[in-house]
Amino acid sequence: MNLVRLAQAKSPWVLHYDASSCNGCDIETVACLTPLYDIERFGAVSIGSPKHADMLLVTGNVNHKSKRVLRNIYDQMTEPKVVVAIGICATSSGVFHQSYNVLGGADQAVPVDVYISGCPPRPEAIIDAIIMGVEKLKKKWKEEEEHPVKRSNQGSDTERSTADVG
Amino acid sequence: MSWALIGMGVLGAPLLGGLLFGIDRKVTARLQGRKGPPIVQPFYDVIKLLAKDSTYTNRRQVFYLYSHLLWMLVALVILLTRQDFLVFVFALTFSEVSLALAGFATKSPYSHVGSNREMLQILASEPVLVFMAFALYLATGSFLTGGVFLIDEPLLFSYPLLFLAVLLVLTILMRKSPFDISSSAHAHQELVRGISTEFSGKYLALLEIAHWVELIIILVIVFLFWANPWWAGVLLALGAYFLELLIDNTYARLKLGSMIRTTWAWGFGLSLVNILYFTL
Amino acid sequence: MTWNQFLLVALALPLAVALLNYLVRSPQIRKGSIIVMALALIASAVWLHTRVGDEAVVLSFPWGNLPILVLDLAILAYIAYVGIERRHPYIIALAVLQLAGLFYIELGLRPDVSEVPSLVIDRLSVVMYLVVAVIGSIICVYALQYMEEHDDHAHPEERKGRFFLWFVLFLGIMNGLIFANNLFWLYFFWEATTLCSFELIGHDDTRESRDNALLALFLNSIGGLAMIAAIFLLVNTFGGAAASLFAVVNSGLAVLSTSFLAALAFLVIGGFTKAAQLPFQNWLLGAMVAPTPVSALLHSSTMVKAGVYLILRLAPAYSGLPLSTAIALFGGFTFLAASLLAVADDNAKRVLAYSTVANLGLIVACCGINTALAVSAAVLLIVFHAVCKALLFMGVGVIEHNVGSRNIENMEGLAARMPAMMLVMSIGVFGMFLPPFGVLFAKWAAMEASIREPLLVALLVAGSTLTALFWTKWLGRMLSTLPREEEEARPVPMSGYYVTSLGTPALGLVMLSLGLPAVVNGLVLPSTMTWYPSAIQGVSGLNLAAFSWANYYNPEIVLGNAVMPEGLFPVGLLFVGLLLMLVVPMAFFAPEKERVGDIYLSGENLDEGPLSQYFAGAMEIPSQVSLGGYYFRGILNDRTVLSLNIVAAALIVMMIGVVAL
Repeated sequence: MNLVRLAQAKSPWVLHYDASSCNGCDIETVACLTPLYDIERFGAVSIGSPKHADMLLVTGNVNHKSKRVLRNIYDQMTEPKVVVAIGICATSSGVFHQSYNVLGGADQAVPVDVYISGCPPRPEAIIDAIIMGVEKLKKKWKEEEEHPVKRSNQGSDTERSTADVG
Repeated sequence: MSWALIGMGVLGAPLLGGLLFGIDRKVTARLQGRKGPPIVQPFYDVIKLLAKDSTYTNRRQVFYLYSHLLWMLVALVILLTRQDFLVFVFALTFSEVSLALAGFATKSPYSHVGSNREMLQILASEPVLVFMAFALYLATGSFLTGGVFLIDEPLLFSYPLLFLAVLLVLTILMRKSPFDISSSAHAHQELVRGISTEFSGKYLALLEIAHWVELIIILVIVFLFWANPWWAGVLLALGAYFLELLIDNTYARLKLGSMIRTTWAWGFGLSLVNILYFTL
Repeated sequence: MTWNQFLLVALALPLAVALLNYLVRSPQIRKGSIIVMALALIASAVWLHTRVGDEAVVLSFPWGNLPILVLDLAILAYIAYVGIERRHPYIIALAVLQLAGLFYIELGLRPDVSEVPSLVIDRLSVVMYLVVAVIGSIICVYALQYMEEHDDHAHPEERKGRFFLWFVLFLGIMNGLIFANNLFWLYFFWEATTLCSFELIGHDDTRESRDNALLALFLNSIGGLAMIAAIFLLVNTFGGAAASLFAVVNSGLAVLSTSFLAALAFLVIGGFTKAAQLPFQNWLLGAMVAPTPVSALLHSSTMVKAGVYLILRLAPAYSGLPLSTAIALFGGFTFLAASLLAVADDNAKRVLAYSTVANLGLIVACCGINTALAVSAAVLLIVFHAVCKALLFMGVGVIEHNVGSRNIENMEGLAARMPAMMLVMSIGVFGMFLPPFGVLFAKWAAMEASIREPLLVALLVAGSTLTALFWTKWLGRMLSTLPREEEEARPVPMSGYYVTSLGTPALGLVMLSLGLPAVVNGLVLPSTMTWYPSAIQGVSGLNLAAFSWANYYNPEIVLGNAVMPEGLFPVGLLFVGLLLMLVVPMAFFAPEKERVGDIYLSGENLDEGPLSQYFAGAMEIPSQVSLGGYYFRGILNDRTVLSLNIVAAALIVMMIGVVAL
């Protein structure tokens, strides 16, 4: 296999965003980093800045306020990128569906590639989802290479998120 | 020294540095009872970053990042060609200052905090290295690093306190606990990502490679403490490296104030006492 | 050119141009006369460099001491008058004491100075003259444009006339100081520079300017009194023939006589006050209220260099004595203390002033170490620091006129608003503390030489690291820009005068640093050759090796059949590094393929405002990103300054005490 492709598949850097979660999914996600589940063996590292990350893990319910933040973080991530919605709240709002302040899942704010349901999902499932995310990432790298997108230098990362202030 | 050897050194140092960082992560993982990434993981990371989309916030940031890597390589060449150690320290300072300026070049809060802390770390590490230049002079009669290969008694025996101070500096420059306040190795966060918050893609890869070269430079500095015979120096350097690993895994990060006090006082104090012992 | 013609150009021409500009208030005549004078001075400097060989040139005037004494009296009387008018008892006291001293020396001791040459020009004088003539002329050209823009309240032409009178006159006086050998002449030029400084600091005629001018007058008068004491001791013990600078330097009287050493110590203290060393540094910091050309000319490149020039000139006289070690420690302490205080200041000119004090302290420390390498380092520092600091001060002046403030925090984002000035300031700041530039080379030589004085080592190491801290911080504040700021910026057009007067030192700094071997061989080594052996020599191309006096600590290292040098400065390699630094980013930078990204603000970025620096703060209120530098005011405050001053004063007392040993 091409060395570059191999490297791209073996180094998924993960950014974890909590959109008003009860922290159940967060605890399980962070547990993946611990020695018992060890996601680092796949090359995944929990990274702090969106500009360094390949994969965005979203937990919890996305509401009107966190929609703007999530959108900003997603826009500031560099291509190619993959979003994983962890837990039923991020997938479809779970028990809070049709509540007045939730949007109905993370895919109302950003395009999501992998969903895991569960409340909370087990770390093994989360690792499984991240591996699925890596597969999607591989596809996106391939598309990127075959059809390179011309980046615009004029637009701002935050142009699309002005609507939801306050 | 021939151009071919210098070229090999310049190309080989990042590779060796990357491999050492990979071993670092693997050994850390094993110490923690888990499997850990493969030892070539840093290379996977850098290749991925080079292929990724790169954003930058302004051109000066890019300029100073290149400057950081280039002056790190110049410092390496000065060491490899066994030239003046004090000139090497100043070249290294240029590299560190460039990194701090790259962080300052954007008006980003996290970047700025990282840069300010980086400068405080320079304050801790530079004096010890200058004292080491003086130690070289006192032991060999010359400031050139070539001299240390020709004396019989290793530098370590006369300058044990200085060696301890250099180990402190090693911890700071390797960005390991307890002194990793400005930016830290993988799996740690510090104020988002410190100086490197606003770097991405190709530029982050450059920073990684500079970090690998920096590791090799520091291990060469440790090696100089027992340069004759050369295999003793290599063992000393590897020993120091594994000691750092162990310290990193057993200590938590210090608060900013404690870190400054510890490194300035102990680093400066130990080196000064050692030097004065031989000159007064 | 004959020597009389040269002296006409160096001394009389500035006087004539100064008076012309005071009497005739025309901008065209001002510009014309100053540019002509500048060109003449630079030409005369080049002529002098080619004309003076290894032998010093001795020039005498048959007028006796009387004219100089009359001028001395005039200056002291004026100073006393100022003291009376402004009700400053210390100034009155100092002026009166100096007058009394002079009277007693002249009338009581009646020294015979007929054999004492008035002016002596040797290679060191040539180096100083090159610095003063070339940099002084450049700053005069800069001042032409700067004073056009400077806000002179009522009677602008009259005040400009007065400004240029003292400014240009100062150049002539400084030239006289450099060449003076007769101590009475030296004293006259010394006091005259104090007078020029007083008039120029008070130019703006605000409360602050007047107070700071008085402070400068007061502290410099202490130096004047020290000089009178030194002249008294010399003339009293050894007669009129001792009133000669070269006789003092070349004499072997040092070991025999306490009064000789005391005279040396007093002359050195005079140098300390002129060079604003601790605890006298306040006058220099206060002098920063003056218009920037004054700061650039007097208070960084030339007048304060007169102080260290004297100490350097006297170095062979106190070589090897405990006095030398005391001077070295004092210089090192000033270097550390001034660098420490510079970290806490946010006024750009005051930071530059502290840096000047620190570098002058380093020069003093080199004089104290008193080996061939150290003295060469001192000369190099004088040259390169003058070029670099003049550049920085002139740059700050231009920025100040555009931004409206001298505060570092207000210079944030300068890189987008004034990219040309950013380039100039970057060259200046890098030139002060980074390889491969000349100041760093001198610092490297000084540090390698300092191993001879072990207690000094700690001071120099700590001070040197602190300089990196405040320079990086300042440059960082200027570089800090937002992603869109450059697109919005409109570059400010710069006047031709500024381009010349800033471009020349910037280019000169790079050229001189590249040509370090030529500078060392052509300027530095000849100037110390009479008293010290050669310490630095060129090795294989663009490297420079440093050899010291003698190897105290270990036998030589033998590498095969060759002997290893003690130190090696690879000018070529470092310049290759600099070249790569400039070229490589351009080669690999492809803006079409990469995009500008927003800064990370934890996702709270808002796109309000044209420059997207707003984020949603508490209660979703749009807040602006606001950043600042570290100033450590908690640790470095007035109490620290007081403690540092006390230590410095103690060191001076110790220095005088050591004379008795």
